[in-house]
Amino acid sequence: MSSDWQAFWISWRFDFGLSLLIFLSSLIYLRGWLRLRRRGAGQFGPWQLAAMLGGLWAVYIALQSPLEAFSSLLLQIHMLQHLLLMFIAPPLLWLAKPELPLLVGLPRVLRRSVVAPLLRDEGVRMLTRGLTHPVIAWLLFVAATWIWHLPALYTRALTSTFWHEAEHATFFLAALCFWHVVIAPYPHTRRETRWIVLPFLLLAGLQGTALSALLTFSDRVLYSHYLAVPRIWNTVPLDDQAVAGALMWACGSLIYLVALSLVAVEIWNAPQVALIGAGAKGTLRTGPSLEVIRQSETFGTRPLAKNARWDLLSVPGIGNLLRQAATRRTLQVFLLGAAGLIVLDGLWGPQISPINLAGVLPWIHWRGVLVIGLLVAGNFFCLACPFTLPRNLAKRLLGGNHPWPAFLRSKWLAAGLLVFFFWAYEALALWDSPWWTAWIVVTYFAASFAIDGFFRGASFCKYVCPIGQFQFAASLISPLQIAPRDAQLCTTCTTHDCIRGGPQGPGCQTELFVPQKTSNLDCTFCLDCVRACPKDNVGLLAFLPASQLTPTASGTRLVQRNDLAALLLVFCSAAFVNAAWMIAPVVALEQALLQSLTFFNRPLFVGLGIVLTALVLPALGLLAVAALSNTMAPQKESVAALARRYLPALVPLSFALWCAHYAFHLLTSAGTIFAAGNRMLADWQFASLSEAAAACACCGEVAGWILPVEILLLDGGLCLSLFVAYRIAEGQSHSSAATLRAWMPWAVLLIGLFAATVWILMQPMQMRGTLVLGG
Amino acid sequence: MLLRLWSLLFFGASLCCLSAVARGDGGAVVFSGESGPLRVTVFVEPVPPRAGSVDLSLLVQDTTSLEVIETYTALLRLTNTDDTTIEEIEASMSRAVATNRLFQAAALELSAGSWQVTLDVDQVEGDRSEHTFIFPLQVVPPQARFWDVLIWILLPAIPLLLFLAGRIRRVAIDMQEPSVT
Repeated sequence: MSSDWQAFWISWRFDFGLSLLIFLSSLIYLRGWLRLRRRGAGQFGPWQLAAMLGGLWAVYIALQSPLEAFSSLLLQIHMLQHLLLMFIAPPLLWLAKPELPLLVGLPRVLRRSVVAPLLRDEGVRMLTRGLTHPVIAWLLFVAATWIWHLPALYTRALTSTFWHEAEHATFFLAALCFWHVVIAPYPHTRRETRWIVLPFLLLAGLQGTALSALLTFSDRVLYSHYLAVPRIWNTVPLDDQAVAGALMWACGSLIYLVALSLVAVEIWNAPQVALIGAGAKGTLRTGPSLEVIRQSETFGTRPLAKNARWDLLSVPGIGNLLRQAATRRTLQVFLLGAAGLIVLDGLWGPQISPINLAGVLPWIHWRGVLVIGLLVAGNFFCLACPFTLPRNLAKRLLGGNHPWPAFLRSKWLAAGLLVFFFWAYEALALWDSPWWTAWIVVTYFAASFAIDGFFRGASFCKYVCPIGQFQFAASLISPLQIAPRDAQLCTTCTTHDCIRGGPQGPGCQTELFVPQKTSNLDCTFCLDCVRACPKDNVGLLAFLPASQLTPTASGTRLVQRNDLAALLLVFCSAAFVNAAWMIAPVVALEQALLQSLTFFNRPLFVGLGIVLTALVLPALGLLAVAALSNTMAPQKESVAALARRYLPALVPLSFALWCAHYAFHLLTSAGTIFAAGNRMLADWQFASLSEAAAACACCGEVAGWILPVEILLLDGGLCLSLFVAYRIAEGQSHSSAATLRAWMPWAVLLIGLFAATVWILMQPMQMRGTLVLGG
Repeated sequence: MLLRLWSLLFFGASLCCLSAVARGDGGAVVFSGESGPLRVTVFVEPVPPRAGSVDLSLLVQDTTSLEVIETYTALLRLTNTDDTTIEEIEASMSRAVATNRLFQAAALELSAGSWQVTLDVDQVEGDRSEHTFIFPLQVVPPQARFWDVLIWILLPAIPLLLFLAGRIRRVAIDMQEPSVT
């Protein structure tokens, strides 16, 4: 073998994403195929398995083999690649009847919670029906073939990775639609009369012949790229083009011919009733997707019990660990130690934020871990909160039996304190002041000790703590929620230990009654209710994120109480204000305004700014959109009540922005903990000072994947917000048309806010207080 | 319905992830020249080369027979002609970096501006002569970050359009069917 050929055969690529996709597809199909075979589904024999593996292998060969590496040098090799993607892989994949095995082969959770709902979705069903309609499928296939063979586009694809991939994806997807019509894989009953497949194939063959002839007989090189590239293996570009055309002609015609013959034989042998679309009136009236789901269910997949939600407390190991009061105590002691370090370093360490534990631990690490925890699990910070650790001691010392004053039994005080906190954060530059940060921690301990020591239960957590309010609002998105495992069992309970407490432990300190609990609001995840329930009927159950915000789940509390609305408004608007205040254009605007408005000092200016941007303008904006929504589709409530009702729809997008913002700091400056820790240890003579650690710890290069991840978070937030708004509109309107009209202004507002958040994230960050060295 | 929304999001994100990791060969010829018995062709990717990571690959052939020559060493030296304060970049090319093993390649970090590329090709076999090729390379400024992340920004459009299509269809059905009171 010549060295050229040796080089050819070793020119394989490895694309992790594609390889993983092909491997997982094979694995899932194989699992489904085996399960269906065990259940006696005769339609899935070895031939189907071979077809599936062959189809996937064809895709792999087309995209990862030397064909890919040499496609930019020789047109005939590029043509082989296209033939594999359009004429070999798609028909093989459909011959494998892949839908049912792939669905049955998926893990049950994924099948039931992701794929089946997707296939049931009306929009998806319309899309799949449309794409597999003979006329549309044929037009797509032909359009893809001809458009990509236009010289300008073909050359573009040869010189650009993105367009090359787009070309292959278009070919493959269009071919999948095309061959679906021809093969109509099980369990689809042939929707249209099978006769239509004959002209379908014949016409496709004709257009293929025309294009092949154009390539074969052209007297000039159509794609200038192949004139510029070096000639290898003594191939002349015009000959190369002719060979490519001949390949397309021969292979395409052969495959069309085989398909035509097989369909003709099928039509000849089939009973007449099957040919006039009986299936259309039968099983496929509900659409192909639903048929696939129905079939997967008939093949003996176990139905999900009505109340069988995933329960974190049932997970071996973790569940038992979380139930133990000692676990909570240990976590609290650990965070108490961290708080102690923050106070020590904040008060007595150097007042340089990035090398002081009070400058980095709370503002970079704690906040980042907090939002990620809320996103993937729930309010676990309150579980481990160190401020409540001395609560029992405080109650013993101060009595602790007084009721919280009736006039303060609302969220007004807490919402006000949250606004105050955001003001202090900006006005006093808390992230850049270890000294202030340390005093905040000290004040927090003192306030918690005094309030919990004097008043009953966890009054501090429920009515005062600004961090707690932030957590409560954010945990409305969280997937985990304290809830009864079996709601029926609670109806027979007479002791109500979960709220009152009992022999096994105290009840809920924030006075939540588990059977009536509809959201995470006011829930500190302390798990006292779990331990108190004598029937072990309280779990940490998984719900779909944001399901707590939909009207049916949230009950009336969220939509009727002005104090809760104020809290949510602050939570949502502060997400934007807090993120925007760290970007260069807003900082520049602030400085310009401060210079021109000389009578303002900065704290007063920030105060007015916070009130205006976090309270007044958002409230007015909400009222305006509510009024517009009411004008477009008259609803049953006043404009103010409508604004309150729709407010929860803003929570997912706002939370996504909190996550993106705090995760950015964590991901870009995580190393600061080592620099600050090293500095502190060096100060105490426990280690030598490493300047290099400080230099590398922050303001490093922002990795390219961080911005896409941030935007992905916002994408999720926007979709959930739009969905929650739609569900609210649905509850307010009498018809589907009115629902859409009522929803429209909110959708526009949310999309506008999404655009604003993307703009914020793309601005240069004013990394105030994080720079150690250099300049 | 919330389940469906989640599933749409999940699939959209998966597709985006796959498209983001997918890479292909490609690139355009940036220089082609002959010296003695050698004919060299240099490809560059991306097209046009943008500030950041730029991939240069080299194919060496015999001038007369056009046979691919594989035994040689190639060294690249790049000098920024706009800004002489920028240090010269030197990199040796390697077959291991190239996907197509007929080539040798090097991945370089370049800033925007005009560069002069000096390519030294040293034949290991045969006459063992060294050949130098010089050509310009214009590196354009990096694309705005917006374009890099546009696909992620537009991602919600997929579930949103599907959702809207379903809702509008429902409205159309409701309008056709007289309401039962």
